[in-house]
Parts: sequence; C-alpha cells; structure tokens
Amino acid sequence: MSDKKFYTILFAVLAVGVIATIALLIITNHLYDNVSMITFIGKEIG
Amino acid sequence: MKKITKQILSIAGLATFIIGFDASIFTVCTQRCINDFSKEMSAKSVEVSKFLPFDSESEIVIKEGEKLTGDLPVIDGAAALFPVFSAIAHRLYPEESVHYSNGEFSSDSSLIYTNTRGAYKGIVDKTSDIIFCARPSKEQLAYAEEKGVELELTPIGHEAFVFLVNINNKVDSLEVDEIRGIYSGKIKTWDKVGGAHRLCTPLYRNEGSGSQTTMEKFMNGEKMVKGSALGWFGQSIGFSFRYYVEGLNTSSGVKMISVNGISPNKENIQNGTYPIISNIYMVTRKGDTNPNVQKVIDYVLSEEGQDIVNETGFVGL
Repeated sequence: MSDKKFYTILFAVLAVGVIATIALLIITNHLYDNVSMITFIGKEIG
Repeated sequence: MKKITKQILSIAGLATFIIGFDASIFTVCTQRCINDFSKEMSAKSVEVSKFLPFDSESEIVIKEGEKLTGDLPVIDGAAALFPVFSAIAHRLYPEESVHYSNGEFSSDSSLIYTNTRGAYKGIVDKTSDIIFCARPSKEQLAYAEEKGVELELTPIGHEAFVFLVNINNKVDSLEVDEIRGIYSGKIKTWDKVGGAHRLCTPLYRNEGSGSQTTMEKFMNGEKMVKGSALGWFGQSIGFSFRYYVEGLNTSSGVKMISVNGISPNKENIQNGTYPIISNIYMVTRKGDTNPNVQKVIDYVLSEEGQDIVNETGFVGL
C-alpha cells in the first residue's frame, strides 16, 4: 500500500470516528433521570 | 514486519480505539437516560424500601383508622409522591393487600410503583386505578384519548418547580425570562446572568416524565434547544420538584436557585409568591364505577389526608 493510500484510509477512519463521537455526545448529552441529573450537577467540575 | 502489515495494524488499531472510546461514551451516557419504565430506573428514583406502607422502619407519615374493604383500587404514581401514596395505602388498605418482595411490588398488589410514565400508561391500560402524579404530557393525554379513556385530575396539593445548579455556581437567582433564555439557547454563557464566563449547559429529563412535562409548560411555547457537545465543559442547570431535591435526593453539591428573587420554600409556595407552582394530582378514569375510588379521593382531600400531604413535605390545598 502506498503511503498516500495509507494516510488517506487512516484519515478517513479518524474522521468517521470523530464524527461518530460528536454525534454520540450530542445525542446522549443533557438527557438525565431524576437522580443522575442531581448527581451530575453536584459533581460538576467547578 | 512488512510495511503493509504495519499499515493494516495501524488502521485496525485506530478503528478499535475509536470503537472502544465511543462505546464507553455511549455506555456512560445512556446510563443517565435510562428508561423510566425499567425496574432499575424505578429503584433509582426513590428508595422505595424506606417508604413502604407496612414496614416498622418506614419513613412515611402514619395515620391509623378504619380500612377500606371490597375491590381496592390499585394505586401507583410518581417517584416524588411515593411517600404520599404509600402513606395513603397504609391508612386505607389492609396490610395483606400490598405485596412487596425482592425490591418490587407483585402484580396482585394494590400498591405499585412504576413512576410517572409507567403510571400514566398503567391507568389508561387499567393496570392501576388511581395515580399520584404531575400533570400529564400531551403524548400521555393523546394515548388516553386513543384508548378511549378520559382522565380526571383532582388537585391534592401544590409544589414548587425548581431549578438546580452546582453549589459553586455564583448565580443564586434567575428571572423567569433568563431561565427561558438559557433553555431556548438565547443566553449561552453564565456571565450574561451574573455568573462566570462559562457555557450554560441546560439538562433535560426524559419525555413524559413529570418534570419534563412541567418544564415544557413553563417554556410557554418557546422551543428548547438540544445541548451542544461542548456542553460537557460548561456549567449545568437542571430542574425538578422541590420535595424531590430537598426531601428525597439531597446533595451537598447542588443548590436550588431563587426565581425572580423568590426562594422555593414552603412558605413562598403557601403564600403563592414563588412564580412556578405546580399542582400535584390524583388521576382517575372518568366513569370508574368502583366506589372505593371516590372514597380514596375523599380521604386525600379530607383534613387528615391533607395532613399526610403536608407532613410528608408537600404543600396541601
């Protein structure tokens, strides 16, 4: 595999990973049950 | 090692790391928004075992008197109100009608606990007959209509809808418009409302939960924004009911803020000065022919029933 092809694939995997991570953070962020909302706020880093 | 092998291993290693990293985020985060119907959620919302109706160590308000006989309506309700309806069950139901073991109520028990979303589904599906909850959401009303059930809401008391921030947040009070501004995305940083220069991170409950439904009503038609990924690094604000925060899940790291300068204490709920007061309700099916349903309603509205509401920590009618 040429270096160009290798870095293209590596970059593509990284890009997909970053997009998936951001999507997960957006989807799962800010939705809490009663207890974890209080726990999350209470343990927030000040 | 051949170059191609190293390249493939590098790509596979990166992919594995990303999958593992995302899986960790998903696991950690989804534990926060666990379904209200699940036993785990029900157990987490309130320590049921501390408020059982016939346990000698129970922390419920105890009133004694004549018990109901015949067809006992099945009682269910929200987490925050469990101590109230458990106390009602203690007063009105014979001990043998409540079956609780291994951390859950059995299907033949006259007292059950499935939290708000489960309770609204249950009363429509007729697995329960009286539920103690906040006002139903549009979806819950639509579900009832779809099933041909008309719900009757009987107010039994008042409660403050409160907003919570971390104890280190400099903000102690917000105006109603400022709260709406934060949740609608118009106010993005705390320094706009007297706090630190950090992102506002509004937190939400699951759709159909009592507090989320109350929050939607509080927004008065303004659309709530979903948080940004950067919200993890901001200072959060959440909401709940006063008794849930003060009586059931106290945390030294959390403070309830005043709204329009008014503190959400019992006195300010009683005199009506706190701006966001919600009713708490007994919900029944219209036309339920079981005479015991009306007897339970009459009892909760009686002086002794209202004492239970007040002594538990809510504010009676």
